[in-house]
Amino acid sequence: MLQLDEIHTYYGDSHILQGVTMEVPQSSITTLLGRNGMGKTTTIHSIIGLIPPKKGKIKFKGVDITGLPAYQIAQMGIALVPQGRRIFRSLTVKENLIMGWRRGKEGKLENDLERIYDLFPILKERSQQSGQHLSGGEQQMLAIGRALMTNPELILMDEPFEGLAPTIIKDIHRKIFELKNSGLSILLVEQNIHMALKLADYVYIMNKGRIIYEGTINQLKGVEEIKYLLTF
Amino acid sequence: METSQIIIQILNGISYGLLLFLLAAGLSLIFGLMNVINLAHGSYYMLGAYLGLVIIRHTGSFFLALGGAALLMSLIGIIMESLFLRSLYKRELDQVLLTFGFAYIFMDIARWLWGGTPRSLPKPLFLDNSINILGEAFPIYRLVMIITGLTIALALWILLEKTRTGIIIRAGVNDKEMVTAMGINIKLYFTGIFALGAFLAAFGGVIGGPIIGTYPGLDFEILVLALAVVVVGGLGTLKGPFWGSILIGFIETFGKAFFPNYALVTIYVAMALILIFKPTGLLGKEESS
Repeated sequence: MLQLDEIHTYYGDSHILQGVTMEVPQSSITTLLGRNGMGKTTTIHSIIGLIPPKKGKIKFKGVDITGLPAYQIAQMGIALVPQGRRIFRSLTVKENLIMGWRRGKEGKLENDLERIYDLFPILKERSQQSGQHLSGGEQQMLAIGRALMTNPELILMDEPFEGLAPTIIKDIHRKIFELKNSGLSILLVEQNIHMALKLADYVYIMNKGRIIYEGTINQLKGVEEIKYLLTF
Repeated sequence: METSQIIIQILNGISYGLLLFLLAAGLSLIFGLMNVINLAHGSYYMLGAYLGLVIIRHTGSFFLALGGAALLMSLIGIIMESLFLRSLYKRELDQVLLTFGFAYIFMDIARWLWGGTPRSLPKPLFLDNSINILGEAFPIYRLVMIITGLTIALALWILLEKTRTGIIIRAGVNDKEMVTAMGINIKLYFTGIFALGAFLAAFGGVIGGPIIGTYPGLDFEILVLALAVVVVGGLGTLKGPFWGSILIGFIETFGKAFFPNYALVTIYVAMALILIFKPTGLLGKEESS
Protein backbone atom coordinates (compact mmCIF):
# COMPACT_ATOMS: atom_id res chain seq x y z
CA MET A 1 0.00 0.00 0.00
CA LEU A 2 2.64 2.52 1.12
CA GLN A 3 6.40 2.34 0.67
CA LEU A 4 9.03 4.72 1.96
CA ASP A 5 12.39 4.30 0.32
CA GLU A 6 15.43 5.92 1.98
CA ILE A 7 13.72 9.23 2.67
CA HIS A 8 15.62 12.21 4.08
CA THR A 9 13.62 15.10 5.50
CA TYR A 10 14.89 18.39 6.84
CA TYR A 11 13.24 20.82 9.17
CA GLY A 12 14.96 24.07 8.36
CA ASP A 13 18.62 23.17 8.66
CA SER A 14 18.25 20.13 10.87
CA HIS A 15 18.41 16.76 9.23
CA ILE A 16 15.49 14.96 10.90
CA LEU A 17 14.89 11.81 8.85
CA GLN A 18 18.14 10.19 7.82
CA GLY A 19 17.18 7.54 5.33
CA VAL A 20 13.92 5.99 6.51
CA THR A 21 12.72 2.88 4.71
CA MET A 22 9.46 1.27 5.67
CA GLU A 23 6.28 -0.25 4.35
CA VAL A 24 2.60 -0.32 5.27
CA PRO A 25 0.77 -3.32 3.80
CA GLN A 26 -2.96 -3.31 3.05
CA SER A 27 -5.52 -4.00 5.82
CA SER A 28 -2.98 -3.98 8.56
CA ILE A 29 -1.81 -1.88 11.45
CA THR A 30 1.81 -0.90 11.19
CA THR A 31 3.22 0.86 14.20
CA LEU A 32 6.05 3.33 14.29
CA LEU A 33 7.45 3.35 17.81
CA GLY A 34 9.93 5.72 19.33
CA ARG A 35 10.50 8.29 22.02
CA ASN A 36 9.72 11.97 21.67
CA GLY A 37 11.72 13.91 19.12
CA MET A 38 12.92 10.88 17.17
CA GLY A 39 11.22 11.87 13.92
CA LYS A 40 7.93 10.00 14.10
CA THR A 41 5.70 12.99 13.38
CA THR A 42 8.13 14.15 10.72
CA THR A 43 7.72 10.76 9.05
CA ILE A 44 3.94 11.21 9.05
CA HIS A 45 4.26 14.76 7.72
CA SER A 46 6.63 13.59 5.01
CA ILE A 47 4.12 11.00 3.84
CA ILE A 48 1.16 13.38 3.68
CA GLY A 49 3.34 16.01 2.03
CA LEU A 50 3.30 18.71 4.70
CA ILE A 51 7.11 18.53 4.90
CA PRO A 52 8.25 16.94 1.63
CA PRO A 53 11.41 14.86 1.85
CA LYS A 54 14.50 16.19 0.08
CA LYS A 55 15.76 12.76 -0.92
CA GLY A 56 14.22 9.33 -1.35
CA LYS A 57 10.90 8.12 -2.70
CA ILE A 58 7.43 7.60 -1.30
CA LYS A 59 5.06 5.36 -3.21
CA PHE A 60 1.35 4.95 -2.55
CA LYS A 61 -0.45 2.14 -4.37
CA GLY A 62 2.57 1.95 -6.64
CA VAL A 63 2.41 5.64 -7.61
CA ASP A 64 5.28 7.97 -6.76
CA ILE A 65 3.82 10.71 -4.54
CA THR A 66 7.09 12.32 -3.43
CA GLY A 67 6.91 16.08 -3.68
CA LEU A 68 3.22 16.28 -4.51
CA PRO A 69 1.30 18.99 -2.63
CA ALA A 70 -0.40 17.70 0.52
CA TYR A 71 -3.92 18.20 -0.79
CA GLN A 72 -3.22 15.98 -3.82
CA ILE A 73 -1.72 13.25 -1.66
CA ALA A 74 -4.76 13.38 0.61
CA GLN A 75 -7.06 13.20 -2.42
CA MET A 76 -5.36 9.98 -3.51
CA GLY A 77 -6.68 8.31 -0.37
CA ILE A 78 -4.43 9.13 2.57
CA ALA A 79 -5.95 10.73 5.66
CA LEU A 80 -4.30 12.25 8.71
CA VAL A 81 -5.31 11.99 12.35
CA PRO A 82 -2.80 14.49 13.65
CA GLN A 83 -1.02 14.74 16.95
CA GLY A 84 -3.03 16.93 19.31
CA ARG A 85 -6.19 16.21 17.22
CA ARG A 86 -6.23 19.70 15.66
CA ILE A 87 -10.00 19.97 15.60
CA PHE A 88 -11.22 23.08 13.79
CA ARG A 89 -12.23 25.13 16.80
CA SER A 90 -14.74 27.47 15.24
CA LEU A 91 -16.61 24.64 13.49
CA THR A 92 -19.32 22.47 14.97
CA VAL A 93 -18.77 18.73 15.25
CA LYS A 94 -20.88 18.13 12.15
CA GLU A 95 -19.06 20.84 10.20
CA ASN A 96 -15.74 19.29 11.16
CA LEU A 97 -16.97 16.03 9.71
CA ILE A 98 -18.40 17.29 6.45
CA MET A 99 -15.72 19.87 5.56
CA GLY A 100 -13.37 17.38 3.94
CA TRP A 101 -15.90 14.85 2.70
CA ARG A 102 -15.04 12.99 -0.49
CA ARG A 103 -17.25 10.57 -2.35
CA GLY A 104 -16.53 6.96 -1.53
CA LYS A 105 -18.28 3.67 -2.19
CA GLU A 106 -21.47 4.78 -0.47
CA GLY A 107 -21.61 7.80 -2.70
CA LYS A 108 -23.65 10.04 -0.45
CA LEU A 109 -22.58 12.42 2.28
CA GLU A 110 -25.51 11.48 4.51
CA ASN A 111 -24.61 7.78 4.37
CA ASP A 112 -21.00 8.44 5.27
CA LEU A 113 -22.06 10.73 8.09
CA GLU A 114 -24.39 8.05 9.45
CA ARG A 115 -21.55 5.55 9.29
CA ILE A 116 -19.35 7.80 11.44
CA TYR A 117 -22.22 8.38 13.87
CA ASP A 118 -22.68 4.61 14.14
CA LEU A 119 -19.00 4.18 14.89
CA PHE A 120 -18.93 7.03 17.44
CA PRO A 121 -22.50 7.66 18.65
CA ILE A 122 -21.38 10.45 20.96
CA LEU A 123 -20.51 12.55 17.91
CA LYS A 124 -24.13 12.44 16.83
CA GLU A 125 -25.25 13.68 20.22
CA ARG A 126 -22.71 16.49 20.04
CA SER A 127 -23.14 17.23 16.35
CA GLN A 128 -24.27 20.84 16.82
CA GLN A 129 -21.70 21.67 19.49
CA SER A 130 -18.53 23.56 18.79
CA GLY A 131 -15.48 21.36 18.31
CA GLN A 132 -13.57 23.16 21.03
CA HIS A 133 -16.03 22.17 23.76
CA LEU A 134 -15.45 18.42 23.43
CA SER A 135 -13.50 16.31 25.89
CA GLY A 136 -10.14 14.93 24.82
CA GLY A 137 -11.62 11.53 23.97
CA GLU A 138 -14.47 13.04 21.98
CA GLN A 139 -12.01 15.23 20.10
CA GLN A 140 -9.99 12.14 19.23
CA MET A 141 -13.10 10.38 17.95
CA LEU A 142 -13.91 13.47 15.93
CA ALA A 143 -10.39 13.56 14.50
CA ILE A 144 -10.72 9.93 13.43
CA GLY A 145 -14.25 10.50 12.09
CA ARG A 146 -13.10 13.56 10.18
CA ALA A 147 -10.33 11.50 8.55
CA LEU A 148 -12.75 8.67 7.70
CA MET A 149 -15.12 11.12 6.02
CA THR A 150 -12.56 11.52 3.22
CA ASN A 151 -13.02 7.80 2.48
CA PRO A 152 -9.31 7.03 2.70
CA GLU A 153 -7.49 3.77 2.07
CA LEU A 154 -4.66 4.62 4.42
CA ILE A 155 -4.93 6.48 7.71
CA LEU A 156 -1.94 8.02 9.43
CA MET A 157 -2.59 8.24 13.18
CA ASP A 158 -0.20 10.29 15.24
CA GLU A 159 -0.35 9.28 18.93
CA PRO A 160 -4.13 8.92 19.06
CA PHE A 161 -4.15 7.78 22.70
CA GLU A 162 -2.08 10.65 24.06
CA GLY A 163 -3.57 12.09 27.22
CA LEU A 164 -6.74 9.97 27.22
CA ALA A 165 -8.40 8.10 30.08
CA PRO A 166 -7.92 4.30 30.11
CA THR A 167 -11.60 3.50 29.39
CA ILE A 168 -11.61 5.77 26.36
CA ILE A 169 -8.30 4.32 25.19
CA LYS A 170 -9.89 0.88 25.27
CA ASP A 171 -12.88 2.10 23.30
CA ILE A 172 -10.84 3.83 20.60
CA HIS A 173 -8.55 0.81 20.54
CA ARG A 174 -11.50 -1.39 19.61
CA LYS A 175 -12.64 1.04 16.94
CA ILE A 176 -9.21 1.10 15.34
CA PHE A 177 -9.30 -2.69 15.23
CA GLU A 178 -12.72 -2.60 13.55
CA LEU A 179 -11.38 -0.18 10.97
CA LYS A 180 -8.51 -2.48 10.16
CA ASN A 181 -10.87 -5.43 9.76
CA SER A 182 -12.98 -3.40 7.36
CA GLY A 183 -9.94 -3.27 5.07
CA LEU A 184 -8.30 -0.02 6.03
CA SER A 185 -4.52 0.30 6.28
CA ILE A 186 -3.27 2.15 9.31
CA LEU A 187 0.08 3.62 10.18
CA LEU A 188 0.08 4.27 13.90
CA VAL A 189 2.67 6.39 15.59
CA GLU A 190 3.14 5.53 19.27
CA GLN A 191 5.43 6.24 22.19
CA ASN A 192 3.94 3.56 24.36
CA ILE A 193 5.29 0.08 23.70
CA HIS A 194 2.39 -1.70 25.42
CA MET A 195 -0.11 0.08 23.24
CA ALA A 196 1.87 -0.85 20.17
CA LEU A 197 2.11 -4.47 21.20
CA LYS A 198 -1.64 -4.73 21.62
CA LEU A 199 -2.55 -3.26 18.26
CA ALA A 200 0.17 -3.72 15.74
CA ASP A 201 0.74 -6.36 13.11
CA TYR A 202 4.21 -5.08 12.39
CA VAL A 203 6.45 -2.69 14.28
CA TYR A 204 9.18 -0.27 13.29
CA ILE A 205 11.26 1.35 15.97
CA MET A 206 12.74 4.74 15.30
CA ASN A 207 15.69 6.37 16.96
CA LYS A 208 17.21 9.72 15.95
CA GLY A 209 15.68 9.75 12.49
CA ARG A 210 16.56 6.16 11.62
CA ILE A 211 14.73 2.85 11.78
CA ILE A 212 16.76 0.78 14.23
CA TYR A 213 14.54 -2.25 14.46
CA GLU A 214 11.66 -3.83 12.58
CA GLY A 215 9.72 -7.00 13.04
CA THR A 216 6.44 -8.62 13.95
CA ILE A 217 5.01 -8.40 17.44
CA ASN A 218 6.27 -11.85 18.38
CA GLN A 219 9.76 -11.11 17.17
CA LEU A 220 9.72 -7.88 19.12
CA LYS A 221 8.64 -9.54 22.36
CA GLY A 222 11.74 -11.73 22.24
CA VAL A 223 14.20 -8.89 21.95
CA GLU A 224 15.11 -7.74 25.46
CA GLU A 225 17.25 -4.81 24.42
CA ILE A 226 14.26 -3.15 22.75
CA LYS A 227 12.76 -2.66 26.17
CA TYR A 228 15.85 -0.73 27.20
CA LEU A 229 15.61 1.45 24.17
CA LEU A 230 12.04 2.26 24.99
CA THR A 231 12.02 2.66 28.73
CA PHE A 232 9.52 5.18 29.87
CA MET B 1 -30.31 68.45 19.93
CA GLU B 2 -33.77 67.36 18.82
CA THR B 3 -34.92 63.78 18.52
CA SER B 4 -35.29 64.09 14.77
CA GLN B 5 -31.67 65.17 14.45
CA ILE B 6 -30.52 62.33 16.66
CA ILE B 7 -32.43 59.83 14.55
CA ILE B 8 -30.83 61.26 11.46
CA GLN B 9 -27.38 61.06 13.00
CA ILE B 10 -28.07 57.44 13.93
CA LEU B 11 -29.09 56.64 10.36
CA ASN B 12 -26.03 58.47 9.07
CA GLY B 13 -23.84 56.49 11.43
CA ILE B 14 -25.34 53.20 10.30
CA SER B 15 -25.06 53.98 6.60
CA TYR B 16 -21.46 55.15 7.00
CA GLY B 17 -20.69 52.15 9.16
CA LEU B 18 -22.11 49.70 6.62
CA LEU B 19 -20.04 51.35 3.90
CA LEU B 20 -16.96 50.73 6.02
CA PHE B 21 -18.14 47.17 6.57
CA LEU B 22 -17.88 46.47 2.83
CA LEU B 23 -14.17 47.19 3.12
CA ALA B 24 -13.49 45.78 6.52
CA ALA B 25 -15.20 42.44 5.82
CA GLY B 26 -12.76 41.66 3.01
CA LEU B 27 -9.80 42.95 4.98
CA SER B 28 -10.73 40.77 7.94
CA LEU B 29 -11.37 37.60 5.92
CA ILE B 30 -8.15 37.98 3.93
CA PHE B 31 -6.24 38.40 7.17
CA GLY B 32 -8.02 35.50 8.82
CA LEU B 33 -7.26 33.11 6.01
CA MET B 34 -3.87 34.31 4.78
CA ASN B 35 -2.38 36.26 7.72
CA VAL B 36 -1.92 39.16 5.34
CA ILE B 37 -3.15 42.69 5.93
CA ASN B 38 -3.91 43.85 2.41
CA LEU B 39 -2.75 47.46 2.39
CA ALA B 40 -4.05 47.85 -1.18
CA HIS B 41 -7.58 47.35 0.07
CA GLY B 42 -8.31 51.09 0.16
CA SER B 43 -7.06 51.29 -3.43
CA TYR B 44 -9.69 48.75 -4.47
CA TYR B 45 -12.27 51.10 -3.00
CA MET B 46 -10.88 54.19 -4.75
CA LEU B 47 -10.30 52.47 -8.11
CA GLY B 48 -13.77 50.97 -7.85
CA ALA B 49 -15.21 54.46 -7.54
CA TYR B 50 -13.20 55.73 -10.55
CA LEU B 51 -14.12 52.73 -12.66
CA GLY B 52 -17.76 53.23 -11.67
CA LEU B 53 -17.53 56.84 -12.81
CA VAL B 54 -16.14 55.78 -16.19
CA ILE B 55 -18.87 53.19 -16.66
CA ILE B 56 -21.59 55.67 -15.71
CA ARG B 57 -20.21 58.17 -18.26
CA HIS B 58 -20.29 55.60 -21.03
CA THR B 59 -23.50 53.79 -20.22
CA GLY B 60 -25.43 56.13 -17.95
CA SER B 61 -26.28 53.21 -15.73
CA PHE B 62 -25.41 53.33 -12.04
CA PHE B 63 -26.17 49.65 -11.59
CA LEU B 64 -23.95 48.62 -14.47
CA ALA B 65 -21.24 50.72 -12.84
CA LEU B 66 -21.79 48.96 -9.53
CA GLY B 67 -21.51 45.46 -10.98
CA GLY B 68 -18.89 46.29 -13.60
CA ALA B 69 -16.48 48.09 -11.27
CA ALA B 70 -16.79 45.36 -8.66
CA LEU B 71 -16.16 42.60 -11.20
CA LEU B 72 -13.20 44.40 -12.77
CA MET B 73 -11.61 44.98 -9.38
CA SER B 74 -12.13 41.36 -8.34
CA LEU B 75 -10.27 40.42 -11.53
CA ILE B 76 -7.42 42.70 -10.46
CA GLY B 77 -7.56 41.06 -7.03
CA ILE B 78 -7.24 37.63 -8.62
CA ILE B 79 -4.26 38.74 -10.71
CA MET B 80 -2.59 40.34 -7.70
CA GLU B 81 -3.01 37.24 -5.57
CA SER B 82 -2.22 34.52 -8.06
CA LEU B 83 0.64 36.21 -9.90
CA PHE B 84 2.36 38.09 -7.09
CA LEU B 85 1.32 37.21 -3.54
CA ARG B 86 1.37 33.48 -4.21
CA SER B 87 5.05 33.48 -5.05
CA LEU B 88 5.67 34.80 -1.52
CA TYR B 89 3.59 32.02 0.05
CA LYS B 90 4.06 31.76 3.83
CA ARG B 91 6.20 34.92 3.89
CA GLU B 92 3.47 37.09 5.37
CA LEU B 93 5.56 40.18 6.06
CA ASP B 94 6.85 40.25 2.50
CA GLN B 95 3.30 39.85 1.28
CA VAL B 96 2.11 42.82 3.33
CA LEU B 97 4.97 44.93 1.93
CA LEU B 98 4.01 43.83 -1.58
CA THR B 99 0.43 45.01 -1.06
CA PHE B 100 1.82 48.34 0.18
CA GLY B 101 3.77 48.66 -3.06
CA PHE B 102 0.63 47.90 -5.02
CA ALA B 103 -1.23 50.63 -3.10
CA TYR B 104 1.31 53.22 -4.33
CA ILE B 105 1.18 51.94 -7.88
CA PHE B 106 -2.63 52.09 -7.86
CA MET B 107 -2.54 55.64 -6.50
CA ASP B 108 -0.17 56.77 -9.27
CA ILE B 109 -2.27 55.07 -11.92
CA ALA B 110 -5.36 56.85 -10.61
CA ARG B 111 -3.62 60.21 -10.58
CA TRP B 112 -2.28 59.61 -14.09
CA LEU B 113 -5.63 58.56 -15.55
CA TRP B 114 -8.03 60.81 -13.67
CA GLY B 115 -5.92 63.70 -12.32
CA GLY B 116 -6.00 65.23 -8.87
CA THR B 117 -9.44 66.86 -8.83
CA PRO B 118 -12.00 65.28 -6.54
CA ARG B 119 -14.91 63.81 -8.46
CA SER B 120 -18.35 62.76 -7.45
CA LEU B 121 -20.49 59.96 -8.82
CA PRO B 122 -24.04 60.91 -9.85
CA LYS B 123 -26.80 59.22 -7.91
CA PRO B 124 -29.33 57.15 -9.81
CA LEU B 125 -32.10 59.66 -10.58
CA PHE B 126 -34.95 57.79 -8.93
CA LEU B 127 -33.04 57.71 -5.64
CA ASP B 128 -32.29 61.45 -5.74
CA ASN B 129 -35.02 62.28 -3.26
CA SER B 130 -35.59 62.70 0.42
CA ILE B 131 -38.06 61.40 2.92
CA ASN B 132 -39.36 63.25 5.90
CA ILE B 133 -38.31 62.00 9.34
CA LEU B 134 -40.05 64.00 12.09
CA GLY B 135 -39.76 67.13 10.03
CA GLU B 136 -36.18 66.62 8.89
CA ALA B 137 -35.29 65.63 5.35
CA PHE B 138 -33.29 62.41 4.97
CA PRO B 139 -31.93 61.33 1.58
CA ILE B 140 -33.49 58.12 0.25
CA TYR B 141 -30.09 57.21 -1.17
CA ARG B 142 -28.67 56.75 2.33
CA LEU B 143 -31.60 54.57 3.24
CA VAL B 144 -30.89 52.39 0.20
CA MET B 145 -27.25 52.26 1.27
CA ILE B 146 -28.32 50.86 4.61
CA ILE B 147 -30.54 48.23 3.01
CA THR B 148 -27.81 47.24 0.55
CA GLY B 149 -25.20 47.01 3.28
CA LEU B 150 -27.41 44.85 5.46
CA THR B 151 -28.28 42.59 2.50
CA ILE B 152 -24.60 42.07 1.72
CA ALA B 153 -23.81 41.40 5.36
CA LEU B 154 -26.57 38.79 5.40
CA ALA B 155 -25.33 37.21 2.16
CA LEU B 156 -21.80 37.01 3.54
CA TRP B 157 -23.09 35.47 6.74
CA ILE B 158 -24.97 32.81 4.77
CA LEU B 159 -21.89 32.13 2.63
CA LEU B 160 -19.68 31.68 5.69
CA GLU B 161 -22.08 29.86 8.00
CA LYS B 162 -24.32 27.83 5.72
CA THR B 163 -22.21 26.64 2.79
CA ARG B 164 -19.40 24.11 2.55
CA THR B 165 -17.16 26.83 1.07
CA GLY B 166 -17.79 28.88 4.19
CA ILE B 167 -17.01 25.95 6.45
CA ILE B 168 -13.71 25.44 4.66
CA ILE B 169 -12.85 29.14 4.94
CA ARG B 170 -13.57 29.12 8.68
CA ALA B 171 -11.54 25.92 9.07
CA GLY B 172 -8.70 27.65 7.20
CA VAL B 173 -8.79 30.53 9.67
CA ASN B 174 -8.23 27.94 12.45
CA ASP B 175 -5.63 25.69 10.87
CA LYS B 176 -4.54 25.99 7.23
CA GLU B 177 -2.14 23.07 7.27
CA MET B 178 -4.83 20.72 8.53
CA VAL B 179 -7.19 21.93 5.78
CA THR B 180 -4.62 20.91 3.15
CA ALA B 181 -4.12 17.57 4.85
CA MET B 182 -7.88 17.05 4.43
CA GLY B 183 -7.37 17.11 0.66
CA ILE B 184 -8.43 20.69 0.05
CA ASN B 185 -6.44 23.03 -2.15
CA ILE B 186 -6.49 26.05 0.13
CA LYS B 187 -4.70 28.25 -2.39
CA LEU B 188 -7.88 28.32 -4.45
CA TYR B 189 -9.64 29.72 -1.42
CA PHE B 190 -6.91 32.33 -0.96
CA THR B 191 -7.54 33.57 -4.50
CA GLY B 192 -11.29 33.41 -4.03
CA ILE B 193 -11.29 35.38 -0.81
CA PHE B 194 -9.01 37.98 -2.38
CA ALA B 195 -11.39 38.33 -5.31
CA LEU B 196 -14.34 38.63 -2.94
CA GLY B 197 -12.54 41.27 -0.86
CA ALA B 198 -11.74 43.33 -3.95
CA PHE B 199 -15.31 42.92 -5.20
CA LEU B 200 -16.81 44.21 -1.96
CA ALA B 201 -14.36 47.11 -1.67
CA ALA B 202 -15.03 48.30 -5.23
CA PHE B 203 -18.74 47.84 -4.66
CA GLY B 204 -18.36 50.09 -1.63
CA GLY B 205 -16.43 52.61 -3.72
CA VAL B 206 -19.31 52.97 -6.17
CA ILE B 207 -22.01 52.95 -3.48
CA GLY B 208 -20.16 55.58 -1.46
CA GLY B 209 -19.25 57.55 -4.61
CA PRO B 210 -22.29 59.86 -4.64
CA ILE B 211 -21.64 60.82 -1.01
CA ILE B 212 -17.88 60.74 -0.49
CA GLY B 213 -16.77 61.07 -4.10
CA THR B 214 -13.32 59.94 -5.13
CA TYR B 215 -9.87 61.54 -5.26
CA PRO B 216 -6.23 60.49 -5.00
CA GLY B 217 -5.54 60.00 -1.31
CA LEU B 218 -8.99 58.62 -0.58
CA ASP B 219 -7.45 55.15 -0.86
CA PHE B 220 -5.27 55.66 2.21
CA GLU B 221 -7.90 57.63 4.12
CA ILE B 222 -10.44 54.86 3.75
CA LEU B 223 -7.81 52.18 4.40
CA VAL B 224 -7.01 53.77 7.76
CA LEU B 225 -10.71 53.80 8.64
CA ALA B 226 -11.08 50.16 7.63
CA LEU B 227 -8.01 49.30 9.70
CA ALA B 228 -9.57 51.13 12.65
CA VAL B 229 -12.67 49.01 12.16
CA VAL B 230 -10.78 45.73 12.23
CA VAL B 231 -8.69 46.83 15.19
CA VAL B 232 -11.86 47.71 17.08
CA GLY B 233 -13.93 44.74 15.94
CA GLY B 234 -11.24 42.09 15.75
CA LEU B 235 -9.77 40.20 12.81
CA GLY B 236 -10.52 36.88 11.18
CA THR B 237 -14.29 36.90 11.55
CA LEU B 238 -17.34 38.55 10.04
CA LYS B 239 -19.02 39.56 13.30
CA GLY B 240 -15.97 41.60 14.34
CA PRO B 241 -15.86 43.92 11.34
CA PHE B 242 -19.66 44.19 11.30
CA TRP B 243 -20.02 45.57 14.81
CA GLY B 244 -16.70 47.39 14.50
CA SER B 245 -17.97 49.18 11.39
CA ILE B 246 -21.21 50.21 13.04
CA LEU B 247 -19.32 51.46 16.08
CA ILE B 248 -16.76 53.41 14.05
CA GLY B 249 -19.58 54.77 11.86
CA PHE B 250 -21.34 56.03 14.98
CA ILE B 251 -18.22 57.47 16.57
CA GLU B 252 -17.36 59.25 13.34
CA THR B 253 -20.81 60.81 12.75
CA PHE B 254 -21.61 61.58 16.38
CA GLY B 255 -18.08 62.82 16.97
CA LYS B 256 -18.48 65.27 14.12
CA ALA B 257 -21.89 66.37 15.38
CA PHE B 258 -21.13 66.73 19.08
CA PHE B 259 -17.41 67.44 19.31
CA PRO B 260 -16.58 68.98 15.94
CA ASN B 261 -13.29 70.29 17.30
CA TYR B 262 -12.07 66.77 18.01
CA ALA B 263 -13.53 65.10 14.92
CA LEU B 264 -10.06 64.09 13.71
CA VAL B 265 -9.12 62.16 16.80
CA THR B 266 -12.34 60.59 18.14
CA ILE B 267 -11.85 57.37 16.18
CA TYR B 268 -8.26 56.99 17.26
CA VAL B 269 -9.11 57.61 20.89
CA ALA B 270 -11.71 54.83 20.70
CA MET B 271 -9.20 52.60 18.93
CA ALA B 272 -6.51 53.20 21.55
CA LEU B 273 -8.94 52.51 24.40
CA ILE B 274 -10.03 49.22 22.88
CA LEU B 275 -6.44 48.18 22.19
CA ILE B 276 -5.57 48.84 25.81
CA PHE B 277 -8.46 46.92 27.31
CA LYS B 278 -9.08 44.24 24.67
CA PRO B 279 -6.04 43.79 22.41
CA THR B 280 -7.71 41.19 20.18
CA GLY B 281 -10.58 43.56 19.38
CA LEU B 282 -14.12 43.37 20.65
CA LEU B 283 -14.97 40.15 18.79
CA GLY B 284 -11.58 39.05 17.50
CA LYS B 285 -10.34 35.59 16.69
CA GLU B 286 -8.90 34.19 19.91
CA GLU B 287 -5.22 33.56 20.05
CA SER B 288 -4.53 29.87 19.62
CA SER B 289 -3.14 28.46 22.82
